[in-house]
Amino acid sequence: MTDKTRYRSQMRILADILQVIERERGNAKPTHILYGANLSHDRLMKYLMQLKELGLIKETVASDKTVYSLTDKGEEFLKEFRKISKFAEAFGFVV
Amino acid sequence: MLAPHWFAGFDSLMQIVDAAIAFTIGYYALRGYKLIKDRTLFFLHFSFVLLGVGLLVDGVVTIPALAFRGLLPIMALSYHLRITAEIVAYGLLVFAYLKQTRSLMVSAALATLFLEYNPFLEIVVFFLVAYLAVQAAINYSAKKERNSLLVMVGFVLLSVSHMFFILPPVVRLFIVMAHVAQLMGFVALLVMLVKVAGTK
Repeated sequence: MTDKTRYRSQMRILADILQVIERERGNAKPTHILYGANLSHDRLMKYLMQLKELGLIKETVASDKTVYSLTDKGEEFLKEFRKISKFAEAFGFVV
Repeated sequence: MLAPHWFAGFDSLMQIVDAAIAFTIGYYALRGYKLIKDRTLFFLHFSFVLLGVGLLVDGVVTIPALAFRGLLPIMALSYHLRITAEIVAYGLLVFAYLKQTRSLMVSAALATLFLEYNPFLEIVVFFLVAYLAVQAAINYSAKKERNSLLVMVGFVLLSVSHMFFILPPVVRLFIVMAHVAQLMGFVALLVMLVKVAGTK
């Protein structure tokens, strides 16, 4: 299937955020996530809130700095998402 | 169908194995759909479950029909059920590809294909699977990934099998080759699934 410019689905965006957080190894600052997941500040905050509510990430505030890390549920979700994504891509579908 | 006598029963067995593989792929696609709510995965799920139902019913019904001649009309009915399920399933997959590529040219070409009157349902299925094989080949040429290669091999074998399903009136042995190609096609898809599901 030809790669085209596509709008990312909400789940794709959430997975992109989780991947940035995973890459930062539990020390992901909002600015890192913002650039890594290519999102505006407002949208990022909305998605971070959603991820927290889903129990996929946890927020830690230490010396006035907020950092995010993956919960076990978040790690599991990301693992499953990667598998499903590979499965769909093998058929030529982008999720 | 016009299978050689020595092959009777094996075709049913192969269809039941094909159905089991189709259900497994359909189940995995459903798991993916439940997780990420992507409609394409639902199409994949629905298509493979439909394929599985068609193959299973046809495979199971054929076994007693071999022993009891009175069941032959049921066998014909199950054959039609399978072929209808295949047309809907492969048609859905083609639709899913068209939806993602949004290729108007391909849609137009496909519409022309359907507008042409064709009395042979097997030919319709063959063209649908051949289209899927071409899409899978395009995907593989872009990605050069082993999983995409397995899907391409799977759909190529399935289209080869449907080509053989068209030919039994010429040589009966073609039906054997059709079933073998179909089984190999589903096995290729299963190998891809096992590889993906086994990823850490």
